[in-house]
Amino acid sequence: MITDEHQPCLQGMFPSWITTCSADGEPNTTVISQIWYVDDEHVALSHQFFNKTKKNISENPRAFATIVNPGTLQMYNLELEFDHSESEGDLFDEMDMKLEAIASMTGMSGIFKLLGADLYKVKSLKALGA
Amino acid sequence: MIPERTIEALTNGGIGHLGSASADLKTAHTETMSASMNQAKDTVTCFVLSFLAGPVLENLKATSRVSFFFGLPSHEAYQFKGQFVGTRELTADELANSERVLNLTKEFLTSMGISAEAAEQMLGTPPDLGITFKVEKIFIQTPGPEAGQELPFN
Repeated sequence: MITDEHQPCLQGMFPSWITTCSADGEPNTTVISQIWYVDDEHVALSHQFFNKTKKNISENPRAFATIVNPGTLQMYNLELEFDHSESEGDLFDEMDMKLEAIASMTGMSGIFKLLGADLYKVKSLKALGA
Repeated sequence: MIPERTIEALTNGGIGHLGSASADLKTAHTETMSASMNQAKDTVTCFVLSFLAGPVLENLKATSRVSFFFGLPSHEAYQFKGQFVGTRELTADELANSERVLNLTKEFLTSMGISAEAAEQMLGTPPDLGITFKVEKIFIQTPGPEAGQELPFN
């Protein structure tokens, strides 16, 4: 499902957007700095704080995201479903290292600590306007 | 009354996403290309492309609940939540404001090294539909110590 065409969207060069929903049906839409490529059927989001997105996903695993190719600005919509969270391993270490690098460049070292790599199954992926 | 501090970001920005959820909690959002508001009624009208807004409109007709995230290139951002009121055609003033905001956004993107063609691909089609909702809650989304805080409203 995720191909080479989508890889530039998952490098953190352009923000992504995500909409989740609480158990009682209240949607929440926010911007996120990066959606990470895991494999051709999974992406990951960083869990750094217990925010509204994380709370909603703990109640309802469905999410909807938009990613953008930073070169062409082509947008893609993804239907996602939370799969599991990882707090160790290669993916976690890679995300942790990148977040720490960003934090140290912005004087926030040690503040934005990665708590988990939240993996989502990609249920659909569609180019906007396609 | 919609708080004064959000008005600049709403009327001089309003580029963002309008979120919704179906009765079985499946979410969808669509891009917004600026917005207008009615202070007397505490309503906001988001400018969208009707050919992309189908899933969101279906959800809104079923559940009425709206989340609207928007911001400025400065990173000042807010999220409004509320109840769907209806759809309508955009006025000439609204279309003119959207054109102004989209042109500023395209200039911002090209100043960051993005090609004019790419900016045009993303923002070149003018909105053709207004989605109006009554604002019930407002949250600060600007990165920083206030992020996530609810703004006093009414």
